[in-house]
Amino acid sequence: MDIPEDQPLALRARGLTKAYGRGAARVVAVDHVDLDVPSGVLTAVMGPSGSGKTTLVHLLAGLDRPDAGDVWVGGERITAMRDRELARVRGRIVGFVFQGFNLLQTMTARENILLPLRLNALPHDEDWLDSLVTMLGIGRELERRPYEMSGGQQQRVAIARALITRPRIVLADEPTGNLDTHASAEILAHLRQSCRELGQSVVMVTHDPTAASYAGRVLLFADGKVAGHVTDPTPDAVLAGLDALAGVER
Amino acid sequence: MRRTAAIIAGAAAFAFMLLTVPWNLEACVAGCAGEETSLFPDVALLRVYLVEALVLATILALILVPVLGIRNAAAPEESAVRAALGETTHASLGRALVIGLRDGATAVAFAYVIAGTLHVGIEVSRGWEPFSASADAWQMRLVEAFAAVVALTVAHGVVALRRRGTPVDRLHADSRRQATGMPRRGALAVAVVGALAAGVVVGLAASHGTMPGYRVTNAAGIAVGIAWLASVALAFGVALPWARVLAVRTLAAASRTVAGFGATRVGAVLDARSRTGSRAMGRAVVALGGLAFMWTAFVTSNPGIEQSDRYFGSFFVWGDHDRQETAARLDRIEGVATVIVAPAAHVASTWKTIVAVEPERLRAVDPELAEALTRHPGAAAAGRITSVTDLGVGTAVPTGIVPCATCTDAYVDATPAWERAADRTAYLIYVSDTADLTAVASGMDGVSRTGGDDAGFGMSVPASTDSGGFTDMLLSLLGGGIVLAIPMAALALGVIRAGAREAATMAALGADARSQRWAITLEVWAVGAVAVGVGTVAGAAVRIVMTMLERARVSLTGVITDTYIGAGLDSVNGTAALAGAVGFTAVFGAVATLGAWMVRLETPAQAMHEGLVGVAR
Repeated sequence: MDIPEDQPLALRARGLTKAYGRGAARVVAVDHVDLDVPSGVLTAVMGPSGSGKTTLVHLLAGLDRPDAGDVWVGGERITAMRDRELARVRGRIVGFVFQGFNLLQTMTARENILLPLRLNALPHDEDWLDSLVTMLGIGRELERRPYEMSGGQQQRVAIARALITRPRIVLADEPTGNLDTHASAEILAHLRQSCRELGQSVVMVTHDPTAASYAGRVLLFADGKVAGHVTDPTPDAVLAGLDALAGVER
Repeated sequence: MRRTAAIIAGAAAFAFMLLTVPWNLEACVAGCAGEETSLFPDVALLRVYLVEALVLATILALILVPVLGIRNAAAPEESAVRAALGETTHASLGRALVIGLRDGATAVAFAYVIAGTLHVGIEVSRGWEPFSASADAWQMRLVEAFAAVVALTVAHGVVALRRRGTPVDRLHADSRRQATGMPRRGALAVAVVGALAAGVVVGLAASHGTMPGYRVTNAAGIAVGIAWLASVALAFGVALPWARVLAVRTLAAASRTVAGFGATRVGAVLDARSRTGSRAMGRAVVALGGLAFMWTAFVTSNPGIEQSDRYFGSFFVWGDHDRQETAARLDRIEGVATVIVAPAAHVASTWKTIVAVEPERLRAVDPELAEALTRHPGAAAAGRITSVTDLGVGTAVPTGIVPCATCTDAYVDATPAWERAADRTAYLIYVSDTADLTAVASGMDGVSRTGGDDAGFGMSVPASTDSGGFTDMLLSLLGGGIVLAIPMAALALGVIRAGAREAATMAALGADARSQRWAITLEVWAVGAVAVGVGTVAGAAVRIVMTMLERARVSLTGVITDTYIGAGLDSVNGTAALAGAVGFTAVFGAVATLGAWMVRLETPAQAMHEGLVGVAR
């Protein structure tokens, strides 16, 4: 899907590069990536393990500093921001769902979900919390601590935490990786609905072609680079794209 | 925190070793000379050393166990992973003991060598032969080194053996709400045992007279030992875990206060950090409180009367000599104000010298000692808490012992019996305000070298200027305090590092680095103050109770105590306790604050990957 010139961009990256290690152990996780993520679109990032997908979303969310290149979030160049400005972007503009959930283990689910509001001095909207809790089906888990929940339940809490501030952009690393098919479908449908109706932009890393098929656009990522994309994806189309990426004939 | 634990063990050993370094050697004349002490201690002394080592090792191990448990919540517990992979408890214990032994030996070897180098350096710089002063200090330090190695080894072993639940349980153990200490029934049982032991001591003291026989004194001694263990168990099982709860409440209150002043972000971060008292913070509280407890309970004042500040020491001469001439020569030494001549008797078996002096002759120069001898006629004022039989010569046996904090020798009222028992003459030297003590020592030495062939000479100095033991001068206290500050610093940095993942998550959720740094700063100061405060109070309470019980026990051997509560209160070294409390809190807070504000800033992503730092931006 080519992005219309008049469509505002949620995220933009130019020459984005990030490497780990030194000498022979040096690995370029993200290699001169140019990327435009339009507003109001659910974008999926797919690729083999170790292709740099997680590093890419960390860089896009301002959770990591690139070695080279720039990232713009809603027109603001976050790579040039000082800590306080960057904290504002992370807290109010971007919502992030970690692959490992990163829930604070000593807090209940409710406290975890509400933490971004407290950290960013944002008002608490009980109705919005209720709707998130209902959508994600975590009403009975609210007073539990993360270690008392299953992986799937923790993942839902992490998603609720990312959405509680009503961020303009949601970046999610495998947001449905621990969920069953039904729950995944519900959450993905909600994310797509948010994009369409509220103009929210979502970038999610996923391994699941079915999950990717909910997206308006699938970026295929390999060896730290955008290797292609699939527009109006179906599970089969995504699989075919991945196979093509791996050089497999079906 | 393996390295931190080793540093703590080494530093604690070094702190106690510093107390045995002869800092004040210029004022130490005969008391520091190695000739009195064999390199191989006698059995009685060895027993005392070993008991001290056991107590030290126990408390140090109680501190090291929680330190070893502090770790980054993101990192799975190694023993749990190994257990999941099939490692047996036996193999895990063996590995842990070897690690503890190796780390302990390395840390303590450094401490021993440095303390020994200081010892020899001071000797050489003051004109003494190397290894000629305070020979028993080398043994003391060896015992302290042994105690530290044992403590670290045991701590590693305890951590390895403390496999509660399945490997999966333990992988999640850091997340769970921390236990609030010993179960109520357990605490009650320990308290009952302690109270019974105390009752035995008091009962025996009340129902028996002086020197009732070794069975009674041994029973009282064992009861005191049990009371000690019960007290330490209650301190670590009840008081310090309660400090954890108090620390969490303090942080919650601080969070509300900070938020009330408009710093909502700092308040939110602080609240998140304090929510339930993470394992890292809880263990830091126990370790910090434990160090403060150890400091207050063991760096004590020796309650008892004190000789005059002007008392320099005593010069003893036995054999034929002219007393008047000797007194006159001593009196002519520049700086000497008064010389009191008195008969004295030496008890060879206990190395005690008893000086028989009329209290009235002491009244003008040494009023406190004179008053003690007047108030307790027939009793001896003596330094080391001992038995009246240790001070008996023939039929001359004191009726009791008045504890004297500074007395190296024993003093009794001069009676015909003591005068008959005397085998030497004591010259008690009192100096003027402006006396040059080195010159006085040199002058006394000159008198001894020209005293004549038929005479023998000896000297003693007040215990306060002697070296060795746990109750030395301010310099060594200060040195020990500074050295104990090293583990505080290591602990502070360990706690910050242990919270790296949470800090990274909060940074990702919008907490700026400044807010996080302020929150950490407030947290460590509050936690440090609470932990050290509770540890200091618990240490003082244990010290007071145990001093009272020890006094009751030694009353069986004749020690007179006017007021047990007074003796207990006097035994707490208030200056050292306060300095320790303030110093430990300040060092822990300052180092953690510096760590929080100066640590290399990592991004949340890096911090989560590497768990290296406590502040992410």
